[in-house]
Amino acid sequence: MKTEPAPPHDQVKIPKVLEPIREHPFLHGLSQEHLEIIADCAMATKFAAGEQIFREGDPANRFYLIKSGRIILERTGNEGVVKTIQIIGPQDVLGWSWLYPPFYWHFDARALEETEAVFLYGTRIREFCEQNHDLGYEVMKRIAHVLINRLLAARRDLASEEI
Amino acid sequence: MQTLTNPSLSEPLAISQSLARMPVFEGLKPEWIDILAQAAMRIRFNPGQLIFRQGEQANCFYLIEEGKVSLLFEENREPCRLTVLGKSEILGWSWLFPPHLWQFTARAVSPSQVLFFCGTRLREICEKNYEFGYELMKRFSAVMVQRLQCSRLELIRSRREVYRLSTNASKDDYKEF
Repeated sequence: MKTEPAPPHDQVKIPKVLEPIREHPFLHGLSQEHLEIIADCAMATKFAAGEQIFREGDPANRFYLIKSGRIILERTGNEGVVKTIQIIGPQDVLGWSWLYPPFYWHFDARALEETEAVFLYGTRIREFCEQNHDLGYEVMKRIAHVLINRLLAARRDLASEEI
Repeated sequence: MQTLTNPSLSEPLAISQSLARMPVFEGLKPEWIDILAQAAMRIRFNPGQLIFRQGEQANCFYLIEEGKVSLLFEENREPCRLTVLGKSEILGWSWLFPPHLWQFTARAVSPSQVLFFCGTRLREICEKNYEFGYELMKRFSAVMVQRLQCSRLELIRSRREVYRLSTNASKDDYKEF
């Protein structure tokens, strides 16, 4: 059942590990309790320019909240041709496959430039979501937003094809 | 445009029984099935009939009981078919996620019997009961994942057809909405 509404963002104490991304949309509107749970699964991380973050087909157990930098999402077609899905950057979320079976990455992710992000242990957060539906509801809402963005990007790409 | 079928079948009890058998609602508590059934109504669409149009307000969803429905996207050109949905499949997820606009167009391909669900009412219940909300979000975002996969497969298919056009999309193409 619904608990107390979350206080405004400036009235919660942002846990230290999340401090660098305190303005990230993923954190907006989360309660103190939910922020603490997320923080327990979080770790600051960095990627060098050109670094592969994950590959299509690998198990998906994590996701990232991006602070700075740019990441390209790609997919390799049958003919070995690499296709760009989307380029994402600050304030974006990298990775949704950790939340939906079969829990494999659906694309490759590679840093285009030096990128700062917060790593989140998705499998653990998913377990929390199953136990705590208030958190689950909030997480689902946010990851669904990521999915819609990917879908819109795919649709724009389809529209730009000239058949 | 939407016609009610046999009223006796439209009673919540009959609909509850039908819902409980649908794979998409597997594992839902009986009282939640009842909530869904109370927001549902059985309707029919004729072949070629428009069910909803991309870009319009999304306040409902459908569960296909019989028939086939084509999912299309329309942007700058002739509608392009993304996929065809059939028996026991969910039609529509946009009602649950902001901005609550249809992301695709749906048209009946064959005579179709579907359950229509009032999304506005269910959304209100989700906001009050997060347990119910979480279960619905899990199920409907899985539908989104399927559509995303369809879009990408369609993209790969169309790219094969046109050969190479895929490189150097302008940076604006990647802007978030």
